[in-house]
Amino acid sequence: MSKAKVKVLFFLFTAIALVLSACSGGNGNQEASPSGAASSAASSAGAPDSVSDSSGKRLALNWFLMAPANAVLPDGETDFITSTIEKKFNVDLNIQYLPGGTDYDNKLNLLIASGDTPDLFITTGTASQKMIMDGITADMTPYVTPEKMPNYFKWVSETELQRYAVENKFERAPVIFPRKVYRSYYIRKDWLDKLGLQMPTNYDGMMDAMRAFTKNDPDGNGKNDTYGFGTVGSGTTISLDFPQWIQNGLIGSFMIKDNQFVDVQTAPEVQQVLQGVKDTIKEGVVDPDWFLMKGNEAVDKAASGKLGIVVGGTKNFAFDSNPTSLQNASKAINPQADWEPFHPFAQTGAWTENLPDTAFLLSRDTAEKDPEKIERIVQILNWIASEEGFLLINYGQEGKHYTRSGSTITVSQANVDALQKDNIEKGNFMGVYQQSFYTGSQEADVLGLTVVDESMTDRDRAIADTIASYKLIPSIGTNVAPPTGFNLADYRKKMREYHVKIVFDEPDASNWPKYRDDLLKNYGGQQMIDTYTEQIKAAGVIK
Amino acid sequence: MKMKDQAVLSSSLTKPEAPSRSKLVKALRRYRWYYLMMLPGILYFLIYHYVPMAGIIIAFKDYNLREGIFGSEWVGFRNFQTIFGTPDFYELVRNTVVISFYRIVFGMFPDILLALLLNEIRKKWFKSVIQTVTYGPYFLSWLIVYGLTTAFLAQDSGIVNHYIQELGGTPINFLANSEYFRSILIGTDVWKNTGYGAIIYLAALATINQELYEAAVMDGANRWRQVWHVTLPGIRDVFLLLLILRIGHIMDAGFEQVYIFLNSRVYGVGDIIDTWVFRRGLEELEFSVAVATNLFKSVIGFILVIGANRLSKKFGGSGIW
Amino acid sequence: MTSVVSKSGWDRVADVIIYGILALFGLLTLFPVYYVFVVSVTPYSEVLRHGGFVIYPTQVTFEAFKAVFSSHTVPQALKITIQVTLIGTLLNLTVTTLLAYPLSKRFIPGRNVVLLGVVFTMLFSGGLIPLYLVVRGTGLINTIWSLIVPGLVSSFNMLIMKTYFENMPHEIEEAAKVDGCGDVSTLFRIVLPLSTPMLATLGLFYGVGHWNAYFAGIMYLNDKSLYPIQVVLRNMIQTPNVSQELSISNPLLLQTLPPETIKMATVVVAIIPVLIIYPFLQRYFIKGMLIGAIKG
Repeated sequence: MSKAKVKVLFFLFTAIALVLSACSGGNGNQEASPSGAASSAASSAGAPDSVSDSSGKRLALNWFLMAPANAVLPDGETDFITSTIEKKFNVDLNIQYLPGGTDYDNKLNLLIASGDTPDLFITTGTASQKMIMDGITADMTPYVTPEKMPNYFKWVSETELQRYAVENKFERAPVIFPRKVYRSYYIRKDWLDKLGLQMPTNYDGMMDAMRAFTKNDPDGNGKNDTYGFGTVGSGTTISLDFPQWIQNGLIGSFMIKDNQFVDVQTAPEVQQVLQGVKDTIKEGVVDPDWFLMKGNEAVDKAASGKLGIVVGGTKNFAFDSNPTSLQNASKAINPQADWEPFHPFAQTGAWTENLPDTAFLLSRDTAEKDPEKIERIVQILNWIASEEGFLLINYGQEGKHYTRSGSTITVSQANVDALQKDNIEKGNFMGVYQQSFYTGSQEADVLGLTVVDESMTDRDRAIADTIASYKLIPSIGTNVAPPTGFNLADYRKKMREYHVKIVFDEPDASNWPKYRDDLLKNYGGQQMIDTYTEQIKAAGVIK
Repeated sequence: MKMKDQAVLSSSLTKPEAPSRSKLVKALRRYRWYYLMMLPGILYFLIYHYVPMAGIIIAFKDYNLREGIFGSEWVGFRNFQTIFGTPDFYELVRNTVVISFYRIVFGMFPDILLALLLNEIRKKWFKSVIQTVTYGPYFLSWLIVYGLTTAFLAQDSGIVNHYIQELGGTPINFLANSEYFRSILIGTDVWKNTGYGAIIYLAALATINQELYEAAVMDGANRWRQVWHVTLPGIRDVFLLLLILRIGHIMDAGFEQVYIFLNSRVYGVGDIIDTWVFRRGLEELEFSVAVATNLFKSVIGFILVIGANRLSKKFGGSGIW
Repeated sequence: MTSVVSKSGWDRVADVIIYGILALFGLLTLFPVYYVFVVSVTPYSEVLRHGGFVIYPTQVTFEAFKAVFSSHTVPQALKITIQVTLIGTLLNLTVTTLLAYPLSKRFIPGRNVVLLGVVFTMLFSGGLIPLYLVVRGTGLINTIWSLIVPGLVSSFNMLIMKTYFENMPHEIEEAAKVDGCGDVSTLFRIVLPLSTPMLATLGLFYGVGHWNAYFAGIMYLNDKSLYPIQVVLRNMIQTPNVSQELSISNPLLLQTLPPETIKMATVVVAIIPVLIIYPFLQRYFIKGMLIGAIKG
């Protein structure tokens, strides 16, 4: 009787022992060749060498890309971007992708730590600095040149590239990033009309509209349940959406003012900003939930008809042609709803110009062992930045997803439907390339192309024109890195704590100079500002 | 590495009996089946826990992605100096310990209470329904629970403030208020986790020998005395085990929840070590500081576990070892 | 409990109080799950109309569920998760039992060292990078075993089980030994059949752990076709996280987030199986199992 049980036990032991020993067997093999996975993939896939190509032997490339949350790369021909690249450049692309964020950073770090650094990868600013300082990345001097990547240099200038370097190491380059800024205030035009108000054009007009929206029952439901303005504070600090920032001359998060670098959130003028925000909140025209709201909660609240003014950041934020726009969400509840863009500071400076944010980097290991791979990647990146690559990645296949005559690209409703079927329903694989190589922007004019989107209404086009007319002030011109040993996290935490203390718990903003002093002296703020200033000086933006 | 760890452990913590060689061989032979049974488990702990522990040395290094764990440069105690030199470090530790303490007190007793109450129920269907219903919220992420919490407690749109206003009061921004913040943390924790936490006690209750109850009834014990003399002793060991482990984790105040509930108006009472590590170690990519902080937390936790275990045994409890 | 006692007046009052408290707590905890379900079947515009908070569905739609299942990865991911949960839980229970049983014997030399060693791992860890290197070194990367083996034994569950074995009446095992059972057959023939409440509980704990796991999936798997369901669902509803110094006009961060209804539908999809399985396991913790088994 007990024998049977012993047998069972032995079986279990052997099974477990097998699992474990099989594991440690694999160990030895992989230790021997760090790029074992890659090379075996290459040999198995490279066997049927049927595709004729001029650019030498077929290469297996490992890429690590940033993807929209819902994206999945399908296999085979369905993903026409990957298959085009593979055919055209005689490569096998092994693409890993995740949505940007902590998981992305973690996984990339794990790959690097285990010696599996991808040949090409994409990271945000802070992470790329760490990787360059730690010697993970390859020198781009021989590769990212106007000769080798002429198309890329249509999008990014050599000056920008130089300024983007970390401690004079040219080891990262910005992926193509949007030049246009679509940040704008949106206001309920139908409420303005109902209350007999004009579209505000300045700060006072905006405040008047906010007051009227709060007190004069713009939705006519007889209840005092609307607010002039809403935004998200994410539980951290005073949102930059509050118009009091620009009202006091503080635009964006970093700016240059009178040839001086300004860290907007710790500037002396923050006293007036905080006082203004305090007063506005006291008037009751701001949705009291703003401070703890996150993500798209303010936009949802605006859609539900509770808010009169919100900030939108994307081009199609209130388009008729965007089914998930604020306009359409609001109309589902109130068919009269009409969101129109405006900006009280449209003439003087609505925001700063964009700086590059996401970088592409090349593996140093690959550059040393297999420079051919890097050469091939550079060719591919150049193609991605070309007209052909731009159109395929952003608009799909000609004839199917758009039509072309000369330099005009026309997208009809039928094209949009076809793209929905061929891309969105197939895992939004185009999104992986759009986000990783174009930062989600589609600025065809850079290539001299005009895009006519037939699904756009006249109202949509008017919105786009209005926003395009806003004045932008120059950016600080270069990416800045905090001094080594400086504790940015603790600094910003303390700063936020002081901001909200003044706004919510103190009678007025008169303590700001004292708090600011504490931040600059005891939390290293002055050191940060000095370092940033030096870096901007070194880039030649200020004297 | 693993050998060394084992050696350190056994030398410092087993009683200095040093059994003679022949005794050891004898024991090995006599209990060979027991040792064989433990083998897969021990191998697992060695491979997947003790080998990676080599990574702890990062706490004394400046971690460099290219050089890796062993190649990175030694910096001695610099990372610890960074931690202890953080301006608000005292506040972080205090918040962590206070929140943890509340969680131990107000987190463990509801679990037991629910299990005891369920144990008194004789209607099978009622018991099953309540058991299942209370277990449900465990599976909702903190993000969802936070969303529901704001639906109740938000200043403008929250239901509670709606009624406060109807009754003529002024609305309170509960979630951004230092006075309420910790209570909200604990309250939602009880709401979310009590049903799941009770399972372990229900299982322990299921194994109490029925004869003990029958004997108690013979002795004329009423319901309350039965609970006191039979039921509670039946779950004592599980309770002590959980308590010791929780004490060991006093430096963890529940990162997932706090990270989502925290806002800058309640930093003073709600910012904990782990949220600081997250901002510092992960967002700023200072891996060494993160590992050093965890090592600091672990050492404290380990000392407390050893102490708690000793106390438990001293007062007649079973202890973990 | 003791069904033989006739009820006194106080007992009745106590009963009313007990039922009352449980019913109240039941309602309180039913609400969140109910709410998630209601939002998932309500059209998004209705949710917005009610300021994001709906108590009962004013209209019913299954659009959100269609959206969740329109991703062709969901069925595949469900299959993987079920596989991992079944195989994983079975292995977890086996190895945990085999470790916990000898450790419940106070007379075994070396027991304390092993126990302390286990508790040590609950507090000390080398972090993610070295663990990844070991998982990679043992050849598990990009296999479903990477979701099982690195979490083979939970120290917590093992200690619970050890405590349970310790509390088991010694007489039972002694009787088995007298009958000529060895150590191994005592465990399998006598002890385990009496341990169903504990096996069911720990099986539930392990199973739920596998069901909810996503982190190992993201870190150890490269092949998307191996992704478990929680990774797929999480990716569907993930909101981009904003780091401190990022430019605010970055369109990546302002992309349209999925509506609340889809989030809630993914939650419903993820929790229905674990809710269904629990009532079936409850019959294993009914009182009197132990004594009944001994007598029978």
